[in-house]
Amino acid sequence: MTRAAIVAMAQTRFEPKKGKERVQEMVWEVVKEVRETTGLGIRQKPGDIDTAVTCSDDFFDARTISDSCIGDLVGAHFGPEEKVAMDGLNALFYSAACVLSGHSEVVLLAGHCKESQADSRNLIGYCASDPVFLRGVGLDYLSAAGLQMSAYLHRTGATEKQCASAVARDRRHAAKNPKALARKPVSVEDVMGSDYVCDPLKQLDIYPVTDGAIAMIVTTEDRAKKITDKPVYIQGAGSCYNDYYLGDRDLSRDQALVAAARRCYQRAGIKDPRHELDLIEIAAAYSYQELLFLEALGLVDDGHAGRLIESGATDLGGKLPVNASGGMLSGNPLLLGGLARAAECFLQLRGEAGERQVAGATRALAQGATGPAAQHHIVMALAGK
Amino acid sequence: MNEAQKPTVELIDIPELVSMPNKFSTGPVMGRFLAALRDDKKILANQCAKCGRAQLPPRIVCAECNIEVPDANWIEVGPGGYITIFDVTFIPTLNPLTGKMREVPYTTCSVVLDGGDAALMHFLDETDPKKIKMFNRVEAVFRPDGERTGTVLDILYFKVIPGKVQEVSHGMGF
Amino acid sequence: MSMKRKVAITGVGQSKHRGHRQDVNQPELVWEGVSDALADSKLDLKDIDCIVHGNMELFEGIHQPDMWHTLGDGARMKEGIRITTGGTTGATISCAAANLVASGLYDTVMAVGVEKQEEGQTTTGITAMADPLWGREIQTGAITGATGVIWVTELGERAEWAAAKLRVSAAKNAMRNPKAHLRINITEADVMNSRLLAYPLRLLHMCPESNGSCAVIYTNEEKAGKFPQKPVWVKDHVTIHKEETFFRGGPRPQELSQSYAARTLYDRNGIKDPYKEIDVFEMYDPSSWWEMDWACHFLRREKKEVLEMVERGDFELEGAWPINPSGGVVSTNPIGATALIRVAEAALQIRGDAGEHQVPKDVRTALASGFGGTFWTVATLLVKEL
Repeated sequence: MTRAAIVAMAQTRFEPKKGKERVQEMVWEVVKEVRETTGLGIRQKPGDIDTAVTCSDDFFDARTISDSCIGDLVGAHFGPEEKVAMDGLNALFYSAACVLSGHSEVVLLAGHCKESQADSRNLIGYCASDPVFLRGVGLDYLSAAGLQMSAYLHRTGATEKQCASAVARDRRHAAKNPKALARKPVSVEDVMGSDYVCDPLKQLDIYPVTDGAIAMIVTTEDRAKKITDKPVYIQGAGSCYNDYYLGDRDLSRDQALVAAARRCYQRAGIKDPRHELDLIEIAAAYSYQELLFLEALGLVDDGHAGRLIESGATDLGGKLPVNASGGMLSGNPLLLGGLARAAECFLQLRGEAGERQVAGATRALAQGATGPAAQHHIVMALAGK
Repeated sequence: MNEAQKPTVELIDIPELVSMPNKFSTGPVMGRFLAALRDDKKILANQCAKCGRAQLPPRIVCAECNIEVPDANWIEVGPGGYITIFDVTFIPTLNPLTGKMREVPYTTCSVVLDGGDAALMHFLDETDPKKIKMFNRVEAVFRPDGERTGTVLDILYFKVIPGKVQEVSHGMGF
Repeated sequence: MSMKRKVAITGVGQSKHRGHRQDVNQPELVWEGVSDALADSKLDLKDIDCIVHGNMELFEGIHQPDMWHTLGDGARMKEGIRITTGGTTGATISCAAANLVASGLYDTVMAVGVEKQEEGQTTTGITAMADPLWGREIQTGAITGATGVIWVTELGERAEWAAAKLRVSAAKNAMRNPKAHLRINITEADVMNSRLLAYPLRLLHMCPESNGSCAVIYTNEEKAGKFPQKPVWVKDHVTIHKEETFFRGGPRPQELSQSYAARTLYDRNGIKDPYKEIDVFEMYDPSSWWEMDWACHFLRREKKEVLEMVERGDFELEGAWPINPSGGVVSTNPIGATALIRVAEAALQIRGDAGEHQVPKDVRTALASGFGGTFWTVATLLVKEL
């Protein structure tokens, strides 16, 4: 069965505030790069890019129809463009679907987010709370995460220190990623010593405010082989929505991620994820999610992620490297968490990850999340052959 | 519920006003355009190297040709020009940047500025639709020195030149 | 570029669209449309593999509204994706659902569009689409009389009466559509005397702000054969965007996206004369002026000819080329759902199930359009048989 493939990828440096650029400049930087790498234009000659899929958020951009301002940059002038308005990994999935449907052949994907633009990122997360019940208690993404972290630690006996060791690991990896925002390593003590923001989340348990953009070009397997000698294939993906009200969920687990992962593995033909994947990229916006998500993905027994991380097994060079990129905790905007994970998988599977290359990587897993306490998950398996 | 039902209980509305403070960066392209308004009372457009069309406000690429517009291709346009489409608005609406209601009537328009083929969206000083003709000649009126801050409102409005209508041979394209 | 698998619409549903729906919160409004579609398709939520959600979040001020709306669309524990493109959202989620089915990744996909306009400030929300550095101080939502000015300049007051006639026709159709929002008895004189918004656009020319939801279920050929409802086939769809600095009328005039989309769709599908080959058109008409203007592009005819067609009644329900037997957008406009409602209504016409607002002819080919953004168009072609 034919697969969709990524033939090019570009990402900006992720920064706390790209004050000298608008979102347009960020997007052009990455679109220009993937177009130059592949030599593809926009419907100018046969085989050029025919469709644009974008990913942006009207709240973060403070702009209704936030894709309209980058239309000219992605070739959406007398051409199609569709905006996926949730985690960017979903936009990659949708790009693949467009290609597999036959309606498009070559898709330009461009995602952007400038978290620094709004004075309060938390106010945006607060707006996900329904005005009838939840806004009254001021729930936002941060406090939802705090509640989940409490629930998870309580049930599993995992510790804040184990969560901190995941942060330390991510930052060790980020030191080898020239695109990462936060490249100075931090120790477990640094994390434990950082101020409490929303108990039990401390400052360094929380992903930093980040600006950045990512572009990719997605096409059919046959076309891909003509454009690059190292296409990265999308083997399969699965998504799942959880319950909306946190009280309707067992917050200490992640049923939606379990379901999304199962769907992904089944479609990708992965029977034993612990032994069939060379690297894992997890979109953990908060430290405890490094543990919870790893377990929900079935990569470690329930409640054992903390110990696994502390053992060094998920470090570069370990048995199952997680977040070689440095992960969201080293700096990705919320909207691009999952897409940045796929970007890293792309580099790794092509042997282009430099100092942080996982030797011989041929199969990788990327995950992305959207909504309060990661209500929606998407999981995608990628392969280098 | 499959249908709207007559309420048997009191319907409660929860009013809420959300203010989202933002700081917008201007970047090198818009930044240059806005600085020229503020510092030099100049309106700058940029011109595609391939098709020659001028863009206003200036853009990073030409959407028709899908290529980057070179830095060297900035041109000055205006301050005179002619209007094509215009709207005299009589209904007050909320300005999302300030949260205040706009005063009516006001006229917005598209001005094709001399020196290029680029059109700018802005205000017109005339609010009687009977006194405005398509292709009327207009001229930019700037805020005085010291009052311009680097926004598109450094141009206060475009002033209608009464009786002067541009001869145009181009269709409207719609 | 043709779809790998055949895609059929196997059920459609809408809420009762109204100006005030304080009796429901947003998820309940979503459920009204979804349950209507499930009833129409005679399917159950378990038959739905994936949900595509559309809603413009800055109208109601809800971040990631698809999260809260899972309470109303049954997305819990299901796969799903959220896609939004302004006014075209409803059409885009239709295209996306069709693409997802055609890809073979899912068998049955439900597109759900919703907007509860009364829970926000519509015009302000639309004004916020303008660039904060140059357009936002100036743009007035979607309120513009510019197209009307051009028609009146060319064709005089006769054009105003024609636009009014179109509005009255829409109102008559809406009276026969229990789902429609504005169901009013109006005359041309009422339209001409209604409040001036932006000359010559008047209140009655302009679409309302509605609360409503719409759901459409798409499936593949195999399932369509097994599912209870008559299938309506999605033959093709085309999406045409324009750059942000749209439509200035300067010396380099650009083709309108309506014209380009129509041309592309017709060429791809061998349609040489839409007047003869398309039986009904559910057009996204934000105003009667735009309905009249865009009819020129979809019909490939000049303004004067279309004016005569309006005066002859060609676009009325019993006319030669019916437009918006549902009452159209000028009668009902819950933005996230509106363009999907066009698809749903076009499908009902092909099935012969539009009840009192069914056009009295054999509908084999229907066109549905979406509009929004910086003058974008999405056009969808539905057929009775492939």
